[in-house]
Amino acid sequence: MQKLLIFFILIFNFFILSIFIHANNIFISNENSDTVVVLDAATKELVKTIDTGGRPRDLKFNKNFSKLYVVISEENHILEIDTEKLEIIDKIETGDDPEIFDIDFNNNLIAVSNEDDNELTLIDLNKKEIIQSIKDVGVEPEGVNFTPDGNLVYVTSEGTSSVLIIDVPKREIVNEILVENRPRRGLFVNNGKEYWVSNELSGTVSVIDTKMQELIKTIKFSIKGIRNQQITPVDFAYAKNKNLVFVTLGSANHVAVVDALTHKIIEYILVGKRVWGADVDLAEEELIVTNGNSDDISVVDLNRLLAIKSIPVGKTPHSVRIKNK
Amino acid sequence: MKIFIISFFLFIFHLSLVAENKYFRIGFIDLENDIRYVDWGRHPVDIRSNHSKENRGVDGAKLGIIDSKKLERITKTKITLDHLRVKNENDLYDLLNSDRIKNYKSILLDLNLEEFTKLNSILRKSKSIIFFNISDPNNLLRSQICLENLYHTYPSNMMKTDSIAQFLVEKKWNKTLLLTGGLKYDKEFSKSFKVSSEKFGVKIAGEKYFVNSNDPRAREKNDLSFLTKGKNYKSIFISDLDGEFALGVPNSSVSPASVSGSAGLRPLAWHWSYMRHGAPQVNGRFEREFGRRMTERDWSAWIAIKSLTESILRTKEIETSILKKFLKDSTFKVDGSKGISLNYRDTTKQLRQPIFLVSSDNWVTSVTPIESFQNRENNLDTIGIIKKEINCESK
Repeated sequence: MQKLLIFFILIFNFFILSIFIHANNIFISNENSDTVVVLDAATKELVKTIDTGGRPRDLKFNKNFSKLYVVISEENHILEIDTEKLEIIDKIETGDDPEIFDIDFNNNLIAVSNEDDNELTLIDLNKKEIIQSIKDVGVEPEGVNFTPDGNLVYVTSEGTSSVLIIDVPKREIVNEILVENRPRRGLFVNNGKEYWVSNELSGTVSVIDTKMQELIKTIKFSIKGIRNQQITPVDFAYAKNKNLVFVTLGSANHVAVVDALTHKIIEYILVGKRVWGADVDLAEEELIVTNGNSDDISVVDLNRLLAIKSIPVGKTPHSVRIKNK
Repeated sequence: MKIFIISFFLFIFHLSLVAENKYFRIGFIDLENDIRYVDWGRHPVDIRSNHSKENRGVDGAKLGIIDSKKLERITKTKITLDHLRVKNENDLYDLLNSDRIKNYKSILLDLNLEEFTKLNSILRKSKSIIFFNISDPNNLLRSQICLENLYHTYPSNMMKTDSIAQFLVEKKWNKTLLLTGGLKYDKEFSKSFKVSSEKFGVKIAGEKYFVNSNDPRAREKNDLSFLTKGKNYKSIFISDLDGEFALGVPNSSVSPASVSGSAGLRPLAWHWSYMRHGAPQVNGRFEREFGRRMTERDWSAWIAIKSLTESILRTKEIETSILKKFLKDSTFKVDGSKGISLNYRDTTKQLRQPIFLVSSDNWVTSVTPIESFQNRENNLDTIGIIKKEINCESK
């Protein structure tokens, strides 16, 4: 009887363990192989390759990580993926050539940039219907971020070197702030007090005060032995508890680690070729970045600020999201 | 009294309206009979020639204006474009000497002149206008005539031939047979390649002058079996603006050889097939607007307008003396969708830029400068005419 009990306890433990292991996955979109690759977060082994079609790019989870949204640029929609079954369950039309998007869960809104048409499209997440497209959002709009309260959307416009601020209820552009050359992505830092923008061709990050809606600081990156022109910042990841912002530096093949409070650059971490997308796990132990020109991801140990592993994933990996549960 | 107050406020209101609407007028001049665009009736088989597909660079300038509209919110400046086509060179000089030209703050030149002393003296007088050369690759325009108000967005022949030379050296195909056509342009292009060869270590295995004909009596000059006999070369460089003879050179040489120049691997400022750095977005906007593919002259016109827009945006001025200074300032940066930020050389006023080496009409095989060629300050200065190579009458 006792033996049997021990046996059941063991079985139960394995069961719990297996749930625990499979709960955490890493999702990576491969722009040129039209797939989303799912890796086991612990072992980094391949769990599944999901065929998405037409150029998958930006990725976002819903609030409880049960769903993953993937933008499919060439097919003009966002796919909804069940993160347990790892299957596509629905799609949402977005308008032409969507690239980057953000979700406001309080108001169930998606905002997506339409790079070719210079528009920002607002979508009802519940009805999965387009509400409205806002026109003349600069030239080649890319980065999209809702303010934490959901009242405004900040959009970076690559072609006009500016950040456009859109009033969500009014559905109109209310301000435009000039930054440096080719702003790619944005990030709200310190509970939305600041909005950081990566300027790809200037090798800088612009810091905007969101209350005044003004540029207050420019963080300039420079790495010994690398030409300034090679330093091309793109994406961000944010470790809130550690007060660290990670900026991927593109052709410089490094990630910059910046103190979110003081704006000081702490470290540059060597990763793969043309480093692009980035995400941090919930425990803030690991940073994962996608390397667009070496078709792999780098895993960075955040305690040592060192890349410890690189894993091939597919052609031109674009974005990465770590599922935390 | 009330009336006075009201009219005073109306006056102020009008003033503010005027202040809101600054204008920056740009002209675009091209010639009706430009050999590069029109004169292809000479060949009975011109349909085969690349150039039958060529279109005027003015479309690129138009795209630049469309893009600039999005910045009006910030610059409060309307940038406008007038296309000024002239019949011949005499009309060109008349126009440039006329008062009409003073309406423009900047003028884009899409010209192909036999010689430019006359143009030179006119531009020298029109100091308040910023001129852009958007299509002439002539090295002498950069090295002999360094006008303070003439900027070049189109790459020089030297930038193009340096790019090919770097590629051939990198591949160790640097024993090269040179084939030169009969046009003045062809001779200049070959001459430039010889200078590049010296610079990077390409050995010229011989130079032959070809003639595009089928005459059996001239087979030494028109038959590739004769032109390419021997085996002391690994690559062929061909200079042929006309382009028809060049089309037949790849895969037709006696010894196996890589072909570059006017056929095979072509050094271009822009190509529709480039897939990185936002180039597909620029190409997409152009194709939707004009129903054709964007060429390197379109790109050069587009980036000229973009340079002006960028200067107006950053200096918050439309005064040409200020813009001219800013254009060659070291802090000036413009995004040409070629991966790195571009700026102008302060002596030659040439836009520093990577060159695309394009093969088989639909693939960018390489982008120069090639990584292994380094310059102390800026790797883009490994291609093209740099400071120590210029010989200007006045700086």
